[in-house]
Amino acid sequence: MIYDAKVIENKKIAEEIYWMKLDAGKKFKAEPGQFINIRVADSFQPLLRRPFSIFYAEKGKVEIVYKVIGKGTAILANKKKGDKVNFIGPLGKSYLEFGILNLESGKKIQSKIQNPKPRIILVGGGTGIASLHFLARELKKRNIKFELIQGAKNKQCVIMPNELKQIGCIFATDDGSFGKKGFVSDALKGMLEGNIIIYTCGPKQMFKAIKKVTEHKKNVKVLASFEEYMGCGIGACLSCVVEIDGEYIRVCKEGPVFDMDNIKL
Amino acid sequence: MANKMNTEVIIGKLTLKNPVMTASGTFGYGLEFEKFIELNKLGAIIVKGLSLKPQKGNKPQRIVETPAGMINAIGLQNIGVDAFIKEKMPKLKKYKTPVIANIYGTCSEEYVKVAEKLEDSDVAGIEVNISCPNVKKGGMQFAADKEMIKTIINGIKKVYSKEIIIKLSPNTGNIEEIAGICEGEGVDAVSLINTLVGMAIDIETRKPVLANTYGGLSGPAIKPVALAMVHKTAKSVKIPVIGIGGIMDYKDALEFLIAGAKAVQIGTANFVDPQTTVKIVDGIYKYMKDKQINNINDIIGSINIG
Repeated sequence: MIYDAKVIENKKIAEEIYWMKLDAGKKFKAEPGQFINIRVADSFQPLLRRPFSIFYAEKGKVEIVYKVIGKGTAILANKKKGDKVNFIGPLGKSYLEFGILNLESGKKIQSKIQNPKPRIILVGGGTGIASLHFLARELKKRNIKFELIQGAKNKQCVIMPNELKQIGCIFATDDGSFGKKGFVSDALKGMLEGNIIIYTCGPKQMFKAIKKVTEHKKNVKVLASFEEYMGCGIGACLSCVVEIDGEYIRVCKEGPVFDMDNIKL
Repeated sequence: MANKMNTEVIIGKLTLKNPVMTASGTFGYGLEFEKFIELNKLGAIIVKGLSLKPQKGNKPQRIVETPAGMINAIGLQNIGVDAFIKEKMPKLKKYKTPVIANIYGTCSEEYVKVAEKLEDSDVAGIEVNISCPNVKKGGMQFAADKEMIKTIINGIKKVYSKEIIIKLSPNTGNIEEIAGICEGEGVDAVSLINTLVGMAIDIETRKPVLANTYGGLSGPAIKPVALAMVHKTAKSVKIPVIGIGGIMDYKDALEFLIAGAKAVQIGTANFVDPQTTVKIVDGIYKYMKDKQINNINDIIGSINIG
């Protein structure tokens, strides 16, 4: 559960966005939707670990896609091949492990996915595409059809356009410089016929827009991977909470994937 | 000649196999750490603070990192003492390590009710958090109210017969005096320090970063403050003092023991490395072996001054 992984590769792939591949050794396995909590420096500054969704994991190698937004990610961006990276993981529940949410209070929240063979749409915004990429690869392995949409601010911010095109991704940029012009929620409007499950990950603004577009559609279920400022990442400190049914629930433990119907945005 | 190192410490009614405990609020109900460490290696486990009724806790954002530290305003979210006894304690019972329940209340009567419920449970003792607001007295900190502290302790002693530890606040300006009052009322030990009051501001929104505005600062940044308070308090009371504050490794722990702490609690460090507690147990043991110190009590309070 705690790994001293080695950097295999670490490179800039878009504006302020990096991709890192780590060798964690044979024992490491993960499921789509899970994350790893990285200790970015040996010192006490920055102190806390930084959590990152797993972009892909196979045969003990794990990949993340991250944006440089502060001290911790800046240090990560400077890691070179062969550098040691200590992380805790895999953490959190997978996209595919969904059904009953068991709350600490004893309450059980059941999320009914009634539709036997739903259409699956993956919608990612910014680095939110990372965990959805892992999900897409897994669905492809299982021969399950899906649609994949990536939203980004502009062409410079699009993540791995070539690799993602190969697994059928369509793109939407705010300014139309790549793919369709507009938000992913606009792209979604025309796609909501039949029984659908949307898996989504990205900024809260995007979640709000998706919620608006899908709110009154009984045939659409939205499962969203949340992100909250994290402390321990292992369920002990109660920092990373979202509100469900009047209770504060841990993103790192009961999440990060939650039924959008249950969450107050 | 191989002498076995004796790391046992006596804290009031409790004998701990070693002086390393976990700090309340940083170790959940202990079970979250099962996959990272052998819980039987710890001196004691102090669980998240329990209240009479389950508490929801504060709105996010609940924590923020600061240089060599963090501020937290979790808001004492917990499942309530009844649920703890019913659901968590049975799972903790299988470990030999004693479990100490941290408790708090919004008024003195609640403290007593929580202690009363724990009397019949398997917890080895209680740690009383007085660093919270007295709702009946307009939110004044219990820790700042000498008479209220006496009322709480005496109320608890009437219903609770096992170990009583009072966790002291560094924010009252008179921690030694409060420790003395606790000693006078006959508690088994005091633990210090709880967190220091802190805040952070977002310069773009001009709003406090924490939804609660203020929070408690913890981590390496507070160690020197904690160490000084532990040293002063250990000199001024005879009851055991448990040291808390920024302990990240065995060397930090030793500083507190040398200053006079009979035991230490590890908090924020658990977030950085979930295995910190057992690494500290091993580190203290190795220090003793290397220096051929057979009994940990030879280290405790051994500071050279003058």
